[in-house]
Amino acid sequence: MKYPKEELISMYRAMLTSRLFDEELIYRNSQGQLEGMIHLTLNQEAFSAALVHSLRPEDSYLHSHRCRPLHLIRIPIRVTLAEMVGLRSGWNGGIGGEPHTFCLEKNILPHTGSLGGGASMCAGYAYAMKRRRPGSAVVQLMGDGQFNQGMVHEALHWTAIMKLPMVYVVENNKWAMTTPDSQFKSGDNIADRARACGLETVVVDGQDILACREVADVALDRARTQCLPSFIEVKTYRAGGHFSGDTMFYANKELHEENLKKFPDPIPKYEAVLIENKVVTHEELKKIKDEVKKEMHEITEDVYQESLKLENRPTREDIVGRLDKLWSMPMEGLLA
Amino acid sequence: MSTKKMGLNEAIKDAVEAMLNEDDRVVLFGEDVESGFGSAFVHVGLHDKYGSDRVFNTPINESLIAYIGVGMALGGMLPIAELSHQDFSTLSFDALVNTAAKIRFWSNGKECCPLTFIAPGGMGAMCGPNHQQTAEGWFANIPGLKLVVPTSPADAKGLMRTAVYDTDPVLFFIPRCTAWTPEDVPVEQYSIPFGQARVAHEGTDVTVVAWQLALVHAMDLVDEMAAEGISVEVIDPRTLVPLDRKGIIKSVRKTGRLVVAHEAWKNFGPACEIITSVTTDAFDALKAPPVRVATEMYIPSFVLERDVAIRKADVKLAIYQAMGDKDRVAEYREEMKKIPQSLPSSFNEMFEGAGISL
Repeated sequence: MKYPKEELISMYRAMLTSRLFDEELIYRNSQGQLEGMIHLTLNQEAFSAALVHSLRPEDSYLHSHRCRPLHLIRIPIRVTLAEMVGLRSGWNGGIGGEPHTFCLEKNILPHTGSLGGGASMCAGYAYAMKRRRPGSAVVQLMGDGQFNQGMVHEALHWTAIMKLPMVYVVENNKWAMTTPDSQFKSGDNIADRARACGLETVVVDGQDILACREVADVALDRARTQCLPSFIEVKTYRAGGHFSGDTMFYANKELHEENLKKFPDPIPKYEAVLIENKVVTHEELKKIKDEVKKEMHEITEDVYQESLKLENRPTREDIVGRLDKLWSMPMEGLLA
Repeated sequence: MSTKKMGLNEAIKDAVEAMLNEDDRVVLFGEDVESGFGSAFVHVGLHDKYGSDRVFNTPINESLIAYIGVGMALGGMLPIAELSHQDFSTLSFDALVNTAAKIRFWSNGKECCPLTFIAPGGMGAMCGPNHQQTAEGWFANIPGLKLVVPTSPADAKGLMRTAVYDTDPVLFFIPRCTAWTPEDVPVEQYSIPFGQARVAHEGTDVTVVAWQLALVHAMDLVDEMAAEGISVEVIDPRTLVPLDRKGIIKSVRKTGRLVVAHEAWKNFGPACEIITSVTTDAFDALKAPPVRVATEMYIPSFVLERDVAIRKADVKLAIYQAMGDKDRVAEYREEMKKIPQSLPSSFNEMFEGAGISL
């Protein structure tokens, strides 16, 4: 196979870590143990698990709601989880929460609150990188819901005009929160719209991690070496709700089942490839699963125990009145 | 210290040029910045000197302009993003309010967003209700943003330098009314700290806090009020966030009377905040209720703007009101019906500067 054995296994581990992390969170959330807006990546792990391996440390990214493998790199998993549930030990002191955790020193950009602007923000960031860190790429992931925003099209267009080292990725999962794509897309034409903005585009099967990896490698290299933007449409399907606790009661059941068949779970699919190509044995796969499951259980248990102690949460006094968390100082005496 | 006669536009350009020269993190971009048309002719000539790498036009996309500025700021640059009218900042609102303003908060104080966002506003564009509002009232309510409202060319030059090197997102809202009014501006580069009001004219009877067009009116009135025996102290806050509350209160403690005048919309406008500060902290010093002067209707197009803009007479009436002289107020209301539209002299110069003859 094209990639070395360690990397093939590492890609498997990234998908599995994402899945088992989410499953632990769903369970603990349902038990009232870990509270937060927990967005799930179920069935969409392949692309971002591949991307994790295409990225170099100097590359930057802005994550989407559904790219858990990217949420779990560069910052220790327990620190990310602590941030998600509002603990002091979270990367941003528990202030940002799940989608807004960011860390510029590790080249992780802030997720915007309203959707769409992130595409333009990344374009500006890519402009800065082109000048200040040539040879590095910037990646933004978003869903097909966000892709509808006008600002995304403005950004795509501008990166093409300015020849920026940018890779836009749309995880086309057929849902925008609880709205099905029949209500927000006129045809399944996402890559066409990006092409109309002047970008090179590619459509990839989001359930096939090796295909995703090849596409991500090419796009990132194109950004790094030619300083040109690319657009990747990842065809996939959201298997779970918008967030933990969402039962998808609003979904058309027949259509949902049909889509799940059309976009089968990428993990067993990749396991079969690994077995068939004699990269790993069934026993080795089981060993990896057991290890990751244990690790995710320990991390979530650790953070849960930490969350039980009030002193581990930021207090009102830590936040209210802390003008130094709004402006550079000195501002004292100048505000009422 | 040697000085040169410059209008506000030229003074800002002078500061921007010096920063483009000394710091390669500085870039200037936005609507028609290469020709200079976009910002009411502030940056004429900078593109020729620094090229499209440093000074460049963007598509007409106010949301894009603001958001790429945020991205550049996060990427270690010192971007100056520019719109041609403050009115269009509605389309930039998300970038400024939901993202730029919250970077420091989201990151628990670890990160910052050193974006400078510049846009002209106010009377003088002659382009109607979507082109000459002043937007300071919209943004003063947003924690995390800083808000600069320069009036004099010398202040604008020093404040521009502070804005670009400041680590927070700074909205630099420039007036059209002093764009071409020449004043002595120091030739050297200097920074003026935010949050320090300037006493534009010393007086003892009434404090007028005003900026931009309202400040031009207030300064035009100083001598004629003095002739009537009213000594007016004029305070130019220069920045609204941070606001020099102490400086304003100090003046009101001296005069006991307050007028706040601005071009922004009246209700829930910046004057309300300033008056609240004074009534909260210096209620005992007030001899009369504070008075507001502000725009009270959308601006119609072309020359009609002159009939709707706040006038020198409006500020004068407010001073009489603050002085508590009811007879004079009633008398002056009658006089106001007869006087022709009163415009500061800089208006005509401004139009001439822009190559427009009335």
